[in-house]
Amino acid sequence: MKIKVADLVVESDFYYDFMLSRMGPYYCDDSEEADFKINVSQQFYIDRYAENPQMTLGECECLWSGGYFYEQLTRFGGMMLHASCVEYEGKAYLFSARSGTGKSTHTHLWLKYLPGSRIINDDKPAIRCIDGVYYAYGTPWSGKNDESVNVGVPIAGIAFLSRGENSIKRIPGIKALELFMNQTVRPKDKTLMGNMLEILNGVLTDIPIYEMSCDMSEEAVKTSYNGMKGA
Amino acid sequence: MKLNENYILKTVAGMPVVVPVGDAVNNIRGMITLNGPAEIIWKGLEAGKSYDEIVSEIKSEYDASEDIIKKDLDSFIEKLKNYKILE
Repeated sequence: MKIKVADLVVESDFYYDFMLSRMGPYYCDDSEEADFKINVSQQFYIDRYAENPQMTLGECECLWSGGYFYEQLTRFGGMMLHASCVEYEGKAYLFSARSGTGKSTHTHLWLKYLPGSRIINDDKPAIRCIDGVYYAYGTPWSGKNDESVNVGVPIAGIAFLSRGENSIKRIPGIKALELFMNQTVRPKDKTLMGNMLEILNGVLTDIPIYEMSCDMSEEAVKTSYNGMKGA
Repeated sequence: MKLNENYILKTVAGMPVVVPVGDAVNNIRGMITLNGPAEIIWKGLEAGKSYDEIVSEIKSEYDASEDIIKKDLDSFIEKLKNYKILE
């Protein structure tokens, strides 16, 4: 089958309900020429499942097909950031942190306190630069709850979250390099990793990056929105 | 002296960084940030330059005595060898 994700036509077979049930918004016409193919066999997922019995087969397919997609994305000016991404007034705001910190909790506070906002991708948005503009895209690889929309929205900023009193400050891109590297898929292939570093160079130079600590109050939403909305 | 091919040097947001790829990801987790002289050394090794060529290249960029440059170069080379980045 062919799907369109992050404005790329991708050819891929999916075998399990976990991914198949998410494909609706992404199907595209079979006559479109594919930008690349997700070249992973069903046996590969079965083998990963054998090594990771705490996961389901569907989750294995999601994790490794997603890994393949996001590595290939680096050939098209894009990369993944482990983040929850929310759109408000036509701009995308990304909140990244290691699992369990509360990035999804924070973006869902936006839904509550900033009417009209919506989740673009709750776990693994694609970031892609097209004609000098950085967009965040929803993808079918969005974590357990399939909260994602098949759109691309210009990015206002990216914040790295920790828990604490509500505060936000902009940090130099270079300070965020390690945070980024820890929250993405790092290609093992030299060419793809080179692509990713090139993209990161642009992302860290052109997109405002913030360090933020927050709690679960309405004040937390005001802190992030006012801190990141820009002039 | 040959640099292991499973490392990639790029300047990201103004900082030269070395990132492992392939099998090297099991050796170095994370990445290595380089200062100016270290970047010259790395690029020199990558291009297959000799020890003396690298020394004179650093000398042309930095105001330091040859002794100090050689000491720094030796200690950097030793570190790279310890991590099996340089073979």
